[in-house]
Amino acid sequence: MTTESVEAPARTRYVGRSVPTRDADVVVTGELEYLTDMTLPNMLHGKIVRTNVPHGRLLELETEAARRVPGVVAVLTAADVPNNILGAIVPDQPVLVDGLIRQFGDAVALVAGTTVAAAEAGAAAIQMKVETMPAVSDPREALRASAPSLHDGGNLLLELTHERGDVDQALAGAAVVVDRTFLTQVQEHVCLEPGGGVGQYKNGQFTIWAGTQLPGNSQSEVARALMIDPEDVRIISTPIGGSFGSKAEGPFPIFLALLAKATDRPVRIVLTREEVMAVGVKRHPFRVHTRLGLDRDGRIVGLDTDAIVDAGPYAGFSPAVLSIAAEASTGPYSMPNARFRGRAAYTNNSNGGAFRGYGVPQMAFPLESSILEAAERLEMDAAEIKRRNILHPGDPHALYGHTIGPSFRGAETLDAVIDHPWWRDRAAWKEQATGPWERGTGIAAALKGCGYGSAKGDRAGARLQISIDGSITIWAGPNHSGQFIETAYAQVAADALRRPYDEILVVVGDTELVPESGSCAASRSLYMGGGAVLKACEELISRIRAVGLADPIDWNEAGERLGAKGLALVEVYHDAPDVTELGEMHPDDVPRLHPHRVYSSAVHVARVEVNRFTGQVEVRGIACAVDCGIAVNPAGVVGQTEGAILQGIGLALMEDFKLEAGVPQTTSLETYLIPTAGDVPELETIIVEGGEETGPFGAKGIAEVVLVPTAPAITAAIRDAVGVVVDRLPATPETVYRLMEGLKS
Amino acid sequence: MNVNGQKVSFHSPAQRLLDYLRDSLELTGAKEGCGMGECGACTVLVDGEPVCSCLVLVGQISNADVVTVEGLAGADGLHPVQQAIVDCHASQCGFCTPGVVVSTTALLARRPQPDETEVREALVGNLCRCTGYQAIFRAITSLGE
Ligand code: FES
Ligand code: FES
Repeated sequence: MTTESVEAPARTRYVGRSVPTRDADVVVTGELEYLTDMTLPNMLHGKIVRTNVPHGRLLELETEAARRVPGVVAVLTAADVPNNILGAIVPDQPVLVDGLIRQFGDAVALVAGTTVAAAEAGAAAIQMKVETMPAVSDPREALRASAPSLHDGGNLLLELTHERGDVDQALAGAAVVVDRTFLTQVQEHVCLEPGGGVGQYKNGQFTIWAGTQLPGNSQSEVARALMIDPEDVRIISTPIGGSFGSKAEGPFPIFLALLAKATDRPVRIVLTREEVMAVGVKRHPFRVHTRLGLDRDGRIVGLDTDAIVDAGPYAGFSPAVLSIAAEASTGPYSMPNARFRGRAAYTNNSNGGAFRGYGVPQMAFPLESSILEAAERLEMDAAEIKRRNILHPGDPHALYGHTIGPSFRGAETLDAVIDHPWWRDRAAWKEQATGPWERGTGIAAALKGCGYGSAKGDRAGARLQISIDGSITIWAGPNHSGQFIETAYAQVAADALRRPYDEILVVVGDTELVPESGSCAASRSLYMGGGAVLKACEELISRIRAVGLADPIDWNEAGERLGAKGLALVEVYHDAPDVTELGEMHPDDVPRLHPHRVYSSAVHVARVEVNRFTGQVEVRGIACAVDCGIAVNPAGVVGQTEGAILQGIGLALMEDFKLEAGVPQTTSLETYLIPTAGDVPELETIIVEGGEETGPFGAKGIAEVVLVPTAPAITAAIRDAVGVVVDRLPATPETVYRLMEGLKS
Repeated sequence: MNVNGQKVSFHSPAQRLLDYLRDSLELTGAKEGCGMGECGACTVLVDGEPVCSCLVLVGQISNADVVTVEGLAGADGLHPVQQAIVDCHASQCGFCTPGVVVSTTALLARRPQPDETEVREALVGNLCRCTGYQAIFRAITSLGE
């Protein structure tokens, strides 16, 4: 592996260095206590009782037998939930089902017992009488007037449309129009820690230890469901064994609160892999109809995108996913005309939620595949077409028209890959193919916004304390959700304060201590949280100056003077800057479309071998160039990139969460396959420099964008190897084989 | 049975080794990622061999020597495999890491200078969803340097 590391700006000492991850020393010894490892004295064990039909009506719930099971302490049903409602954007989900069952595995009751076995026996003793109803399992069917409604307003959760220019006219005059429908699958996160936590109720206060990316949301969801003050709910949300979007929403913290209150004892629930597989949120499957028009010179003249998104039974974050998908539908490209229509439909399938990339991978696959096909029809090089159309700073965003900011390095990122030997020497590599293994190389590009987008109130906070001996503690968010983000916060603080990194203590993931900072999501943790940390440090420095201390700062003295004046505690909020250069965008559209001011980009080159007889695809190498502003921790950037690429390989080739009429078929890790150590190709990360003025020390967020090009780069390479158009994911051996057979006939 | 060099006794032979370690001995380094032998997060050494502790009942190994991730570090610091994982950023969320450390230790005891194929084979049962595995390979390679 080679990685070009970024030279840190001269005045910094820690930003730009691959300092080891915080807590790594206690992770490797097994000493770090994850929230599912926790026990408290007198603790009970909880179990969730779930339905085994995807659609139906709960007619009767018989709990008496369960209450009599030895060791069972409490059995709770919908009647025990003070306000039986849930949902971060649209409150359309019951905490516990009291009538309509909308998903296989919907929770109907909670059992607490003195042992796990007692709780399980209690759960097994609960009898349900259910009137089953046919599952609404095709989102297109769901949108028909004749389909049974899953919610009061019907099955159309959201429709989002926008057009810039005149797409129909542009396509009518195009030299080539690629017109195709693409399908993407349901992807499961497979965090190694399935999930769980502990709830406690003491002196009118709830403490919930449960891994989440969005503790503030858990806090308000618990408060709403129990009809209590959010101040009375404390969420401790780390350490956590992976999340990738999955642990951001849902009823789980409410379950813990309900059981803890009802039993007056701490209660732990550890979810099983099977539970999480069946009911955990998933990457939304998309059906995308794309019409892409180019002129004879390979310039894109128009793009028409029509997406149907299977939201599953509840809204969750689906509206936000659709909005991010819309913005990314035109990719990192410039074009005069573009139209997007997206509809998210309720169904009885898996619940669509956040997953690294948030709708963007589902857009990149159709667009990149269509560009490749257009290149072939124009007899042009696909990379050259990308180069001709890549967005540059100052260009209008192709769909929304706002101006692309100065830190966008799409062109440089693309060039870094075009210059890569795997792309340059692809013809020679292809020629060296042997036996049944055909070789091919593909290239794909992507952009993704950092943060929630304009007019979203995106803000992060930081609290900083200097104690009397001069030591520094910082409480900041967003929290660690699998990357120990506190490492980067400490690097930022060390440089801002010009103090040794090891002297900075950083605490994340506790609603009592950390000012509300939003989610560890949307490629915003470092960009926003790091920004808040930087601001807190700058405020501290200015207070130190104000009490008369000059450089070099005597930190003991600073602690004493600020302490004496009551200035030792700094609390700041950092607001994400919205788009200022609206360009062609109408101001009224900003609060509807939430355009981003800052984008990161990534470009991949993939080389694959395809077995001509079996359709088996082996990925041999992926190089990823990533436009990250400044790499605060280069090894962290490489780690995020490599991990994302493997998830992208899973999306491209193997991962497929299958349902039949709403019933999950891939129920464990035996049938749901993710990449293993045996599937890892050669990987290379190329860091493309160029600071972002609104990010801490120039940093942007990248952990999502690096996943986006993987699948289309691989399918492009498959096309190069054996000539087939992969129009659905994953490209399993059966799919590729079938496509190759289709070519023959 | 010995666990990390200490003699221990158990009362229910039908208990899974993973539960015995985590619940009875409070050694929570071994994690449960699947409970069916698919993820490797629960890997421990039984008589020097890496095994999924979710698939073993204590009664089956009543005379065995068990070593968990907690038993690898010496008095003077981390085991070299642990140190290499820290130095090479080979752990992100860290939930797979105890299992990876144990499997790697077993590999190196058998093959002090493993080639890439051997490393992959030794780790194929340890799923990691965060790192993309290459950093783990780099950590292991760094030990031979
Ligand atoms: S928990 Fe034992 S292999 Fe997954
Ligand atoms: S570091 Fe998270 S699963 Fe390996």
